[in-house]
Amino acid sequence: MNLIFRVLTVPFIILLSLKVSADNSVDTLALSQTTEWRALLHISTEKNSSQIESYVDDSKFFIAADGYKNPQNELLATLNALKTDSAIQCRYPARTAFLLNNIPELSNEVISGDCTEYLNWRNRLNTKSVVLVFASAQLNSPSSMYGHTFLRFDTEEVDNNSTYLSYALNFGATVPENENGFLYAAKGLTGGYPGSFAANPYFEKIKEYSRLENRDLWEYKLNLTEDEIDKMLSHIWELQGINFEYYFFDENCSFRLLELLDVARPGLYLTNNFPVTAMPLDTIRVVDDANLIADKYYRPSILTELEAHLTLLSAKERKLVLALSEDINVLLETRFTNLPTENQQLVVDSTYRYLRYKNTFNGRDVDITRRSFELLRYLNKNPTDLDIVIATPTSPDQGHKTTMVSVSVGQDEKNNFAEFKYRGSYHDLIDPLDGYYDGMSLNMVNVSFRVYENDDIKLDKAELLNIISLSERNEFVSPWSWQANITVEQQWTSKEEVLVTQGTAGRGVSYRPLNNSYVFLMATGRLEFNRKLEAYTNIAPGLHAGFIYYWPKTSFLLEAEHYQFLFDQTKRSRISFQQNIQISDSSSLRLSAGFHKVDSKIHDAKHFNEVKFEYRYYF
Amino acid sequence: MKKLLIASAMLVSTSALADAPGSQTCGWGNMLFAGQSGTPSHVLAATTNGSTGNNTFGMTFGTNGCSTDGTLTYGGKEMIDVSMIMDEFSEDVARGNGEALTAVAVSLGVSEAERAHFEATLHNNFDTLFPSENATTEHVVSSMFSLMKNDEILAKYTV
Repeated sequence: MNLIFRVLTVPFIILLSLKVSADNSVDTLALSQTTEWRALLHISTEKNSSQIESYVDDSKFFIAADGYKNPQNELLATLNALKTDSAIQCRYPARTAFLLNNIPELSNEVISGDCTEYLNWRNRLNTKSVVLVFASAQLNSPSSMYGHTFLRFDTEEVDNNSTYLSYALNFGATVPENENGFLYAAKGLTGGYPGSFAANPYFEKIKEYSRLENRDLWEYKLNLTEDEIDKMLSHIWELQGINFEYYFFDENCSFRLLELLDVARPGLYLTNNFPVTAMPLDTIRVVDDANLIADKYYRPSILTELEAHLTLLSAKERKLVLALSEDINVLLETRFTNLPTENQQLVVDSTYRYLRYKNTFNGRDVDITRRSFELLRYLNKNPTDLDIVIATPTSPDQGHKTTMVSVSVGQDEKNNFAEFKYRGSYHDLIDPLDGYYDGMSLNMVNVSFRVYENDDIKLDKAELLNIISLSERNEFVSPWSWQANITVEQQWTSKEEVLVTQGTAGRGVSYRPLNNSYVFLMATGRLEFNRKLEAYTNIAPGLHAGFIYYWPKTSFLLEAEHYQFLFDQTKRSRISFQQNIQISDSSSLRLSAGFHKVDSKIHDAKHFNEVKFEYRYYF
Repeated sequence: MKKLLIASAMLVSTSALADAPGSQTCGWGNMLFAGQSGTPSHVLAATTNGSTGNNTFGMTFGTNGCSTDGTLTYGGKEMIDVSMIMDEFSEDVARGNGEALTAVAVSLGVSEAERAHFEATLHNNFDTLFPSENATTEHVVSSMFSLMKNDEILAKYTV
């Protein structure tokens, strides 16, 4: 019998002892105000007593009718229930342990119960360590663009490569099956879905993220002690079948997991770090700052593995992979058989991976299945000595932080200016790349003001949302790249600057002409509300092209954009250069220059230039 | 310890044997082997960070329309439901190592010292386990058990 089991059974054995009336001098008010009790009820420690309300939105969770807002009543009700109902201690093992710890004489009054179900669950989990798993951001799914976190519970033997069998605990919205991503996002923002915890074997999560969504996983092993794990698991049991409201930005997966960590190690106050939003990536940092992380492990996705193989191939071999993926008889052709054995194996291995990747969602086509099987058999008969090591990239928690302020000096068509910018989140195309994916830009709430030499102050731009997602096309894959943004911004219209509201969406293609670069071209559509145009509501089709190059600490972006309003004859064109230079973990310098032209039927073509030198600080 | 490990690996009640292996209507994307069928409609549930698991902790783990609970019994012996990891398992057997292969070994209780032997035995008998792309989970599991029974080291893990 293992230690955990013994530790767990002790309180229940104690409960069997004779019932003796407890001393009633217990200060239940003080006890109900402790960090531990509040954490068990999911009540923020930051609120004072008149405002408190539990994050749990499920009356099943509370014993007292007003337990969700009165921790003392809930404590009294729990005490009372423990003395009258033998099922309570099995239903609330964490509360029971807390109360027994603080009120030793209580053990004489608690009715003994048969907690076999709970003890079996604990015994089956046999948890020796807890891992916080971060599924990296995937822009192409609006609901997962900030990443996702969940917990994994490992047994003692897990180091021997058996995490497949570990127990994964996920907090998520309970979403109807056919809900689309955008509806999800909308409802998710407003608490339209109930959220609850769910359990899976870890291999199901690996399939879900690594195989179906091509998201790399980061596994952060936590340094929780046996006692802390006991607290956490006994509380998790209390949350079985309990509903929370799910909010995409704050009360999301990450927030709930922090609450569990607050239960495990009272006094961390992790949740207090997130009064407004809890971005999964930031919660990892908070956990790291609280010194909870013992170790981290990178699990590349199926696509990352495939790409790592493809980059080892020569141009000829890449052609062979494509040919072999279409026709198994290529194995017999001299262009294949003439290759050195190692290269043959690499070609076959890459082809197998490519075929599986490409057909993930394509049903079970007879020919492709046959070919995949032949390739697998070839791999079996020709075992490879190649050990393709995928370099571990900088982990997401080591990247630049997700909020930014910046100060710039510059000159535009009006005057010299100083600019002040705040960005709520989180990374643009040329921000320091370590810990992030290249070709992705996700900005929410990005506001800049300009103060001019003549003391004018102007809102320059307020971005509600600005996303650019570049996905490379090559001979193997042909994904779409896209962009979307909604902003309030200054636009030169009819001889003056006008504050307009606009939304733009675009779709197109990206390639990598060189390593560490992207070139992209997108067709765009712009909807602009502008009181100085002929009509207030205007639509402008256009084109947006760009080239990005990434060096280790600096990156360069060249862009050209042109669009023309459909009814009004106004056209706007822009060419801009930007260079970002990282100068520390938390700051960078950015130089940008823009050349603008506005054509209109009511004035001559207007040209103006803008240069800016910016200091960006990430925090 | 071994027993506990198996038990913990199962995470489920012992009344396994839901559907016959290979006959489920569940699955994750397209599978090389017929053990699973493709059901793209489940993909969305996965992409929304939604709760696709079972929120009765650890009683049954069937998800996404799968009626299985992640384990099955074979000849009275409990093990991981291979049909849920057929693609990964077949690939690992072909290569001779990998997490799916380890998971099967661990779920059968194969000791760490004998795991390499288990892996090699399966690897060398890929053709027996996977005679064609139409191999069913049932065939794979039963041939694995006969291979093990005929191996003096592995025989003890089949009971």
